Amino acid sequence: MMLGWSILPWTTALVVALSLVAAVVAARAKERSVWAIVLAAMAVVVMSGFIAQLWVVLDRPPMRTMGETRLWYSFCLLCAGLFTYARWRYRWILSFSTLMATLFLVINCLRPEIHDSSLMPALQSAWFVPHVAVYMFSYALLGCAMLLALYGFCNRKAEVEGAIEQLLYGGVAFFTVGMLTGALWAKQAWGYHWSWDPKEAWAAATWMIYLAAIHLRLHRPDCRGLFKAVVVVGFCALQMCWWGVNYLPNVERSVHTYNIDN
Amino acid sequence: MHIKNISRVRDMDKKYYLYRKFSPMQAVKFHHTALVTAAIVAVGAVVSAILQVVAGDFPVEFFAFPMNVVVAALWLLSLVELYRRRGVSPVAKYMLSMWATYLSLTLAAVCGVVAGIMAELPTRKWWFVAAMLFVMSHLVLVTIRGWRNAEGVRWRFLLNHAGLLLALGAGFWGAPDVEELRIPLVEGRPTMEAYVREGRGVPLGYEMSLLDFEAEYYDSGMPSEFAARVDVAGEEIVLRVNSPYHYRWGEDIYLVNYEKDLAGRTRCIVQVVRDRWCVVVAIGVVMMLVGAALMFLQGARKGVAR
Repeated sequence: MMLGWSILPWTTALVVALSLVAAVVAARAKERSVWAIVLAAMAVVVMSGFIAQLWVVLDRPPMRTMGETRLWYSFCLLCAGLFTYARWRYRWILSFSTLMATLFLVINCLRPEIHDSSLMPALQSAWFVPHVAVYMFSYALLGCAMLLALYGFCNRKAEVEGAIEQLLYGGVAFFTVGMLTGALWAKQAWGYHWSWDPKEAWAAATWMIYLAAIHLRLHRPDCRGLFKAVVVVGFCALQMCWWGVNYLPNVERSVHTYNIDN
Repeated sequence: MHIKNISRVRDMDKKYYLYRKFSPMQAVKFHHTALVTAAIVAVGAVVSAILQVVAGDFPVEFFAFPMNVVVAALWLLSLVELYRRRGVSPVAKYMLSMWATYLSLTLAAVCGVVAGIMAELPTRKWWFVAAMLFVMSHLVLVTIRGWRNAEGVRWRFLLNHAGLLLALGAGFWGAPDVEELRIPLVEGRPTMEAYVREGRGVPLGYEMSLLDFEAEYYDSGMPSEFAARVDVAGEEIVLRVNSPYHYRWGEDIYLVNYEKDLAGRTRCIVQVVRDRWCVVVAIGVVMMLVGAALMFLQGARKGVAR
């Protein structure tokens, strides 16, 4: 049953149901729950199935429009939440990642964009998929870090900060690779590694803020509140970088505009 | 200048790497360094503003090769000398401190935010150039220190910081040497003339002519692909978006766009980019890619390289 976007509401319902049950089971279990992991993994499989069939129906990688990147974000968030739970056993992380993934899935259901099948020549490059995929995964890791930081404001534990730090290293690593693949692609497409496109500029700013968090953690592990605050501020900059740039007045200068009505 | 008591200087380096509790002495030092930082920002802002008003944009063209190489070499040598004096010089001590790190990160973030908001790029403004210079100077110093002193995740530290320095530095110091030339090609009309961004005509140095142009479209009317067969200095090549032609070292030819003129003929726009520093940028990028991989694989490690 390959219908592209039209089966999104059903997919959402199924994914959210699986993730919610997984989150509840994880929250109530005293130790790492195998059932929670299995259910969360099933949600990931369903989500990847949806993306795969969309890829086939559209006949191009579904990474061009805003709605498509939201799909990848939900998918990566479910993966990152599952990974964080499996690795560090935080009872609440599946709840957070489920909540955030649900939010973005629901946004997609409510904003049924008319999804154009075409991929412009500039995007037909081997760099396209790695560049976008790596970025979306980093957004998910950094999103998890932000969620943990908010949680950490209420429950100050050293292990929470340790987990945030590890997620930051992973998130910043993928973000860096995203930026660098973007630079290498830009050199191949129009001859410059870096042209201070608004999205590039905001990516650089986001990168710096997260690097500040990492340096702060290395230098002053006792500045816990400030560390978490910087992580949250970094996530705000990330939102600007992801979709905020499309609403800025200088957007005409950008080559990164998602076709919002397309 | 002979530095007495080398072991004391080495201890000072290690001090930056050890976590200590905040003592009253350090509270005083904290406020002192905070004031110094604020003073640097204030003085920098004022001087940049004055220079901007008096002299207009930063004179990038003045630093064309070999001027940029000479100035860069002098800059590097003076930083090495500053590093040697880190035991006694307050400037060196500040430039190697975590405050300089936080200031660098903040300045870089501000540069990014301003570039991301403004319609006109700030890259030629004096404040932007000064901020970049500060960030790079700090990077040079911590890289030297990391090379000399770091343990544990030393290679990761060096790859990340030296890689960034190379990429940033090549972009900064090499900017005056980058040439972007656009050539509108009409079928059957060879040309040796190119245009710079300001509109001026410039001789290309070799002949180019358009032999053939093809565009494919989706059903919606949007272009799916375009390709141009171009004769460049006697050699026939095919240009596509994302598939440039590497003419010679530091010179690449790109297919940028196409348009139909009033007679219905296709005119395609070809861009020649001359950038001889791109190799250095590429090396820096590769170093940072490896550094990023290590960040992911090794995670947070309490190495000395802070």
